Amino acid sequence: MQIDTQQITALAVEIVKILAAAVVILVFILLVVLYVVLKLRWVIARIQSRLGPNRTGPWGVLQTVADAIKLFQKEDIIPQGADRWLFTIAPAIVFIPAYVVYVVIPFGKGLTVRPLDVGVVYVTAISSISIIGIITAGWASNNKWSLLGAFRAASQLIAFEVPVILAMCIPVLLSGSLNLDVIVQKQTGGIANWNLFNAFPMCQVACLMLLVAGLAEANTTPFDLMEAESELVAGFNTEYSGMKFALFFLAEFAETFTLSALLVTLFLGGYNPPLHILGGQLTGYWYSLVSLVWFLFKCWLVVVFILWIRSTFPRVRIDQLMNLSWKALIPVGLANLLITGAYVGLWLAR
Amino acid sequence: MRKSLLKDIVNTFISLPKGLWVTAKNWSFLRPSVTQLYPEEKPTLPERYRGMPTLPVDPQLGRTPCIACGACARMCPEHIITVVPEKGTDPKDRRPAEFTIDISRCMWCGLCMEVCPKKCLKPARTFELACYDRQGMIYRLEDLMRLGGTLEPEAEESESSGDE
Amino acid sequence: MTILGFQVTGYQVAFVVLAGITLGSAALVVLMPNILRAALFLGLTLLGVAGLYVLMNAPFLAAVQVMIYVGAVTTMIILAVFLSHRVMQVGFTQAIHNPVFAFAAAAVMFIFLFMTVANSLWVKDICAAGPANTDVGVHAVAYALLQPYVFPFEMASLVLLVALIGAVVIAKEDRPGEP
Repeated sequence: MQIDTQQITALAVEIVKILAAAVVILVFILLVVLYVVLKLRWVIARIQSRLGPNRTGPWGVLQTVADAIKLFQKEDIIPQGADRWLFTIAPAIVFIPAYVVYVVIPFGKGLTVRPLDVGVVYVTAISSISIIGIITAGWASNNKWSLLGAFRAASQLIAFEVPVILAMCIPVLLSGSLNLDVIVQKQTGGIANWNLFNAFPMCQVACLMLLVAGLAEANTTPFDLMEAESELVAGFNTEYSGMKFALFFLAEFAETFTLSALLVTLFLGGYNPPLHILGGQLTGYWYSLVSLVWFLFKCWLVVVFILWIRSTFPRVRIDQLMNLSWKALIPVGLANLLITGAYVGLWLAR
Repeated sequence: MRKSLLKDIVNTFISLPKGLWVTAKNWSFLRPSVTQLYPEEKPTLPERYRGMPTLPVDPQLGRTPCIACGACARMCPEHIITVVPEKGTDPKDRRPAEFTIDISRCMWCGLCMEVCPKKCLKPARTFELACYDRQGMIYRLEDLMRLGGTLEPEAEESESSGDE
Repeated sequence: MTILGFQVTGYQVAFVVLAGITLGSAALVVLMPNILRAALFLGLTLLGVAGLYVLMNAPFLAAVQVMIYVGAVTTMIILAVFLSHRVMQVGFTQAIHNPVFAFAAAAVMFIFLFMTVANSLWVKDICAAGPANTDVGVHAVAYALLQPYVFPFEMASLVLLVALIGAVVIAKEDRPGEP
């Protein structure tokens, strides 16, 4: 039995690298979710002329940490008559895709875990898996409200996956690559090169479409029909408590951040600074750091915008939701794709 | 049909930013929060706030002007007021030896204050009555005088005392 | 690395693991008494196939496999299960009435598919060409879909169109006057 030590060492190094990246992403998601939930409560409070959490820790920054600790202490209830096995595995099916998507997101120059060549398709493919988890959760709970939530989840998520993909096709066509890193690099050189400010009106329409459809995919408030608390108690996660509920919660807010990261990457120049003077002249690790800061700042802006939308608009009806996708977004998206294709093929290729 | 569809599409792009603008106005400095940070920031009680009955101190007498007539105790629908007059004093200078209110059963009807002939039972300007056991809800004479503060000579009060 | 005298590479280990997941969950799809669990195992099977595509240096195909088969088809199957009237019965089962006959049919199908794959021209082409080009840019995909494989591609969309029209015809109620 011969052992190639060099090969084994290389393998071990690779495994340690992967584990380190996994831990870093997990910690990042936890921090982001803790912050986004806190920010959501602050924004909603201010919009309703309240102050929001301000007791736990300085300015209330530890409020969500306290909430998380409380959730972890809660009893883990599995309702009678539930399918125990599926009930247990469903939160994992929802959370793991929301977690794994972060692998391809370019956080900064050279700060992508794996810059896959099929990045855009990977993101849509992986995030489509979480539908199964939501449906499983709704069915396994043995509760009619959960099941109704699952029904709505299935129809809504399938309907809005199509406009998401159609919208993501536009920047892909313009930059000629499915790799998110390459799409970002094509937008280098100041705010004028960002996709949002180019190819009028195709990119603007696509950006708006990605925002609307992405909100529906991440089931945030104007489109949170699968957990509409006034109609369905809490929708698909009615019966969940403790850690399992925490996983659903984590996945939902992780998806919100994923949406903002995608909007930033595809339309707002990714990690590129808006002006060359604001960090563009740096190189090496310094540029990585500055680009990370720019990426997070842009994501913060988009997240705040999403929270603003979330605290402004009332929930739509299910038929309005379906009409929005099938009768408005998908035809517009197809026409947009056609026009962009013609523009890229006939105008840019001249 | 066609026209209304077009109208809907145009309205979408007008009404949604309109809604966002409304909430943005609230969000900004234009509408500050109405939250009172309670333990640090006490609420301003209204002028005629009706708290628990107390016996304010008359600054001239140095005590409550209560004459221990017991009208409040008889009127109280819950029988929570106990008045014991001080014995062996001049009948013209009656004063309470004990005056106890068990506030745990008080329902804030205010009848005691209405019947008081000397108008010396006054609503307290406090609302923080929480305590750790039921004994804390029983207020004695000195507690009631301390909570009541000083008796302010009011217009109608001076009038009524003038009548007597 | 050698295990039990065989020269084993990481590629082979990954292949065995993924193939095991695919075949094991495929067997469970058939054997699971609970039809919803069976549907979920079907999702795992399709995910395993996607893993095999990744191993074969076809990441685009793998991503599309996950998006369409795991994300959409499995969801549709579960939705169809939901729409059956026994949805709230936890214990509803799938029945295998004649296992011997079913196995025989499956075996014939397997032999047919295996012979087709083993004798097809493109397998020989790939074996002759060596490792595939890993460039999966938009241009490569577009070229593949619209130049050499345009006919199968259009056939697939024709099949989908037929399915759509069929669904509309079946779902359409031509009962005027009835609610």
